[in-house]
Amino acid sequence: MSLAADPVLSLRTDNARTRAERPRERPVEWRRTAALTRAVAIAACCLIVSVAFGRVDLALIAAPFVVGTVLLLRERPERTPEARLDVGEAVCAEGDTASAVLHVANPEPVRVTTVVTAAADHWIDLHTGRGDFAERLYPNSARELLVAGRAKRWGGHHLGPVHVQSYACGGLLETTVQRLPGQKVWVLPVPGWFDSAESLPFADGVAGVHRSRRIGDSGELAEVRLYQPGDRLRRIDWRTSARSQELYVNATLSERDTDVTLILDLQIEAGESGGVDGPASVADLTVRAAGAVAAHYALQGDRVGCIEFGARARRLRAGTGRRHNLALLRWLASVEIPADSLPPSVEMLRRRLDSHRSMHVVFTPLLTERSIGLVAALARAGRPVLCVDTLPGHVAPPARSHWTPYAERLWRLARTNTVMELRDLGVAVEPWTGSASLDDVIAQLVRRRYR
Amino acid sequence: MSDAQRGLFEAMGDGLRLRTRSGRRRAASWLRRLAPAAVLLRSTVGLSYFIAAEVAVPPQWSSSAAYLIVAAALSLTAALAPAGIAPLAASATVIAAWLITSSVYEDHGGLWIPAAAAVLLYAGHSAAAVAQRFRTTTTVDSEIVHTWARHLGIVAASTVAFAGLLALFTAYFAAISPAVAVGVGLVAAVTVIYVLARSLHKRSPR
Repeated sequence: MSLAADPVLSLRTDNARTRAERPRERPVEWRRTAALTRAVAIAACCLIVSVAFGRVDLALIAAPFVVGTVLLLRERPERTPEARLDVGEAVCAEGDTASAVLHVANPEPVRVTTVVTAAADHWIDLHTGRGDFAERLYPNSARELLVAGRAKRWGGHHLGPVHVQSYACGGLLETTVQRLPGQKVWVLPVPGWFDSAESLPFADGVAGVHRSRRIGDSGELAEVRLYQPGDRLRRIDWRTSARSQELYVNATLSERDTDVTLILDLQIEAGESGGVDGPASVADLTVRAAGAVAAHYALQGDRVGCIEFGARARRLRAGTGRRHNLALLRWLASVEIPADSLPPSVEMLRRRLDSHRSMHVVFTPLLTERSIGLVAALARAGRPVLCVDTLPGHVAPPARSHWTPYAERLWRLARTNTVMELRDLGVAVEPWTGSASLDDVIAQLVRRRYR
Repeated sequence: MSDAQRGLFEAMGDGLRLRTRSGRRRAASWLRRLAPAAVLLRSTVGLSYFIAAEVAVPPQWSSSAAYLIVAAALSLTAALAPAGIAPLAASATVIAAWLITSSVYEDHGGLWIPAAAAVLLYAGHSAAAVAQRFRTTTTVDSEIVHTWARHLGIVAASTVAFAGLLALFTAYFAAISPAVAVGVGLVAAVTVIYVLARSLHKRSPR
């Protein structure tokens, strides 16, 4: 029995709605326009009335319509222009230009006008003259037309569909509209600048920039101890050796890399995003802050991984270097906060965290009990946790009544209490303010670790 | 107070404010993206039909408020919707006005007024044909406007030449008997319509 005849495959689904047939794409073909009908109607009526009533002036009125129409219809195309959309790399940065190239070929020996109308996501602001334009195609030629717009916010945005319609004979003939489906353009977030001179705790990798607790070659003095066979001569501390009449050497702490796990709280979106130039929402601040921290540590040589605390619970394996940083930005661009999603599980997230000995940076607006519970659970488990508060300062509940300001004040007091309770648990909580904003809290964490 | 407890007028006021704000934003965006060539073509459509309507009738009609309003309304509609039936309606109105006034007023006649009206009507028609699928924000290649202007110039010159030809031989037309004139005219009209129909269906020579 063939697959097509299998009765199991033709069973009706549970959905009460009948499956809509996909409309068939109409072939692109030439057709007459209202202008051609108008020209022929005016000319014919004027000539008939002119003959019927002996009015020479009506023949004169019909003359330009006859002459013009005949002149224009001398060059009639037969084959329609062929259009193809090429999005190319389909990745750009926030604030940069997202573009697609439209290839249009005119196979006919007559001139043709092509009108291009492109649509795009509202986060892609199509440039004037690059989203809705008309261009002339010369006989037997092809052109590359650019459809471009400014990407205003990170994420996956749709560029297209692009509608292409061509005209010939001065607008007397037109093609049917050709719809070219668009493609998704990934707009990478532009992370804020972040720099930190502080070492991270649990530096126990191979080689890096953080001071570890293991002895090795470095500049950080660990201890002065008695010489043992195998010690390098240049490590001998001559002053101490001269004083004690025995050979002593300087032992140093090694510098190693560490694991940084970024946990993105993506349960609730608050505030209205204004794109790269406007105010930031919670998701904007979370993504840009995570991008900045990740870029700093990944380029420094530390292993950076990401995990979502949200509906999708995605995870990016830990890695290091420039390529991993780019992959991480691409991962961050796919962040979504769906409405009415299932709440994530704290236990499940804890089970998915790889290493106990890595630095956990939680980016959270601290708006839900679940987020606070996650941070507290990580801290109680003995993991070093740094909590970056990503609630933008301008975000406030909408004014509904005269009680709103009092309610907001109470809510803010309760939130401050929560932050203080988290600090009591050993969690460093710091609002995101960009460059070097986390140095103090990282230093606190390191002191606590080496105490 | 929750949304459910919000007063009706307060909610309506909020909605009105939001709509006003978005409307203002849309208008500013439209003004920023306005394309001069597309607007020029539409202005040509409107102005051509309006001037044709004014030229085709004697001053008594052209200065009357009712006629002015009708002419302006038709021209404006043709400029705003060049792809619709408005250009045909405007052309028909102008031709009808010419027919009526030239029959009623004996002194309002001659060949140069219909020649001017014909050129203006064709200018409006051809500009509407070019601009029919352009939006006011469509950036138009200047080559398209140049081609249209060149074509209009050729047609206008041929119309003037045809009018001159008719003016030169008007005296001869009076001498021809009505039956012969009708026969010749009929043959000429059928020939022209045949040529038009043939050019519609024949294949391109190239």
